[in-house]
Amino acid sequence: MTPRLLSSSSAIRVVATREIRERLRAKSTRWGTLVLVLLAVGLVVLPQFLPDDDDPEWTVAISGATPAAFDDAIESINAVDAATITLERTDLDPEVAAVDDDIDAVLVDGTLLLSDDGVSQRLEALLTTAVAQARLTDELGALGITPEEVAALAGLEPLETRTIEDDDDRSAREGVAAIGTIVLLIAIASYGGWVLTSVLEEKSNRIVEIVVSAIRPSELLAGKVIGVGIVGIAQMIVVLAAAALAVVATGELPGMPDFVPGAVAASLGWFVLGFLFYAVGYAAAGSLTTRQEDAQSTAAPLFVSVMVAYMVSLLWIVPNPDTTVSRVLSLVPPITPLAMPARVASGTVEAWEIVLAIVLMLIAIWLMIRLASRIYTNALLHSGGRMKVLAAFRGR
Amino acid sequence: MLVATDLHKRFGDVVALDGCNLSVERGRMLGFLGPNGSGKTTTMRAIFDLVRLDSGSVTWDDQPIGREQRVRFGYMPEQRGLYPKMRISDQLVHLARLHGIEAGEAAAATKRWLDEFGLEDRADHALESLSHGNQQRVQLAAALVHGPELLVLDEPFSGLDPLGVDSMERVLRDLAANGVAIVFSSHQLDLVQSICDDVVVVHQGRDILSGTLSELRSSSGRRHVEVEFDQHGASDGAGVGAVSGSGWDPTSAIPGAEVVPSPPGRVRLLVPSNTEPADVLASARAAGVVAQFTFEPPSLSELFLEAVNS
Repeated sequence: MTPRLLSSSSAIRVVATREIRERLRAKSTRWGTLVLVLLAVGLVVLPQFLPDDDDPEWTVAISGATPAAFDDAIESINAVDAATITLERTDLDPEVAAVDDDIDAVLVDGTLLLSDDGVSQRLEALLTTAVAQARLTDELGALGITPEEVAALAGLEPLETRTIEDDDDRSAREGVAAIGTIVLLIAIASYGGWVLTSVLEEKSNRIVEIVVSAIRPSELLAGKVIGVGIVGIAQMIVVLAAAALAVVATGELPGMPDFVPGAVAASLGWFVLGFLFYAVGYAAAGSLTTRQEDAQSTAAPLFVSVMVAYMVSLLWIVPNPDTTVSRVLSLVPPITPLAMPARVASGTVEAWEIVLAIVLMLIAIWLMIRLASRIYTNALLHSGGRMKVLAAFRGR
Repeated sequence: MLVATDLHKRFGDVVALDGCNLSVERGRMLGFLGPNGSGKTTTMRAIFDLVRLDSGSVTWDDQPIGREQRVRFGYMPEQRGLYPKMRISDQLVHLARLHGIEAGEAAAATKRWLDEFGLEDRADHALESLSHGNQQRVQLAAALVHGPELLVLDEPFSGLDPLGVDSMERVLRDLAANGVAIVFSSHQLDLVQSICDDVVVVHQGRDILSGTLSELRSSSGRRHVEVEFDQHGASDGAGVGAVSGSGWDPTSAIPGAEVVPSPPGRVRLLVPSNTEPADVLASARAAGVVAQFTFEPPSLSELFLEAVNS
């Protein structure tokens, strides 16, 4: 048995393998995954049980006189529109009737609409149409035209509908982009945190002194980031698969906008780049200290940076994906991993923009690796309290 | 052979190493001694490049120590450190793999060392669930598992019970017999005296005493004498009724002798090393019945105190 130096790739593989095995073995990983799966499935399944606002039901009390054809008009509206209006005659004082919780509104003499908590615009519009149509039918009836003929003339037939780029799709895209941004924020910050604690653990219990007598600090750094990254991606895939199964199982699949699977795949790709960038930084932050309390502050610049990227993406880029400011911001490396998937989901992104963003991101990752492995190498063996970034950069 | 030459290291205003030297050959065990803060740990860390020296060199087989050399060393740091939540067999395999040992061999070596230390039934336990002494054994196994040519152990015996000391001592002896060079630091001087071949005493960052243990002891200018007189036997020429040996005045009988405090019934002396043991014994026998007589070079702890205090 002869010890020998490992090649860099073997060293990285040995470190990454340990990281993966210990992560998978940790109870926190298993429980964390379970909670995320339940959360994702819950988000898909729960809306099924919420009241559906698309087919509202109203009960309207009728007080005083209405045009003779009013009931027929309501009936035809109920038939055509995806709404149900139930009429109820009342002899009560309209102001008393309006207070009844079962009554949404009281129509008084066909001219006044009374309610105790406001009338929805749609109900108001439907009733206005019904009254107008009933009056018209009454007038025309007086001229000898039957209600059937009136209905045919008024054209109360459902219109053929065809959806192009409309507001519903727009808001669905914004919703997907916003959810994607939040998920990416959580993934990058929490998997970055794994790297941070893992580095901290090795440093504070000094095993790093034994490890770096066998392999290079940069190999340890790379193996750690890759190992945690693989577990992170695996966890995300498990959660996404659970969510996808839930979508299929609840029969929501046909209703899912076409762009969603592409947006999810793109987000995974951007996660890899964003994770590499931030995790390498978190490793450097972890190496600057040996205590958990200090780690919060050494990692603060990274956390602030992810939060800024998140805020910019959610508050500016998602609502305005295609403005010049958004296009420029989405190319700034620390922001790119959150901003680009948001733009891909909610706007239109030119192919060259994506290529440029990836190239810039790779350059930024390369710079981050150089900076971080220098800090990491110098700080790793420094014991006794927190080390300043600059001191670590300059070396011992 | 490990050779450290003229090591210098300063931490701010504190001089940690001020011209320290040591060397250890394959197959030998070097005890590295010195008061707290004398530079033992700094020297050991310098071998692993965990301390960047201001000046001085450390070589292994006449080569400056780089990664190629270091991967064939084993290190047990002063502050113990392994993964607390990882199973002990997994950590040993992992450390062997990091040192380039194939998976199968790593597993076999792990099993061998866990058996050696009586930890075979703990293989799947997390390190943190083990007792202090067992964690210490795992830490030594971690330094050994890849089959190093040089072992550097910082206080390997601290915190071990006598059984633990015994098994660790046996393991180290076997390794040395198989050609491994071993350096270890310790405060337990009697232990060092009983197992070491060579000794270096370091004080205030420099080596003040070094050589083989037997050389050092015999080269001392003094010898220890202890005489115990039989209090019940017949007196032999010192006059009836007198307590046996009480009339002995060694300082006048033996040139250069010095009396050291001792329990009643015994006499302890320091005499020049050229004194004949037989002369001392004869002088004592003239004063009483001698039950026990020892004449030996100073112990390691005495040499240590003498060197550090002078």
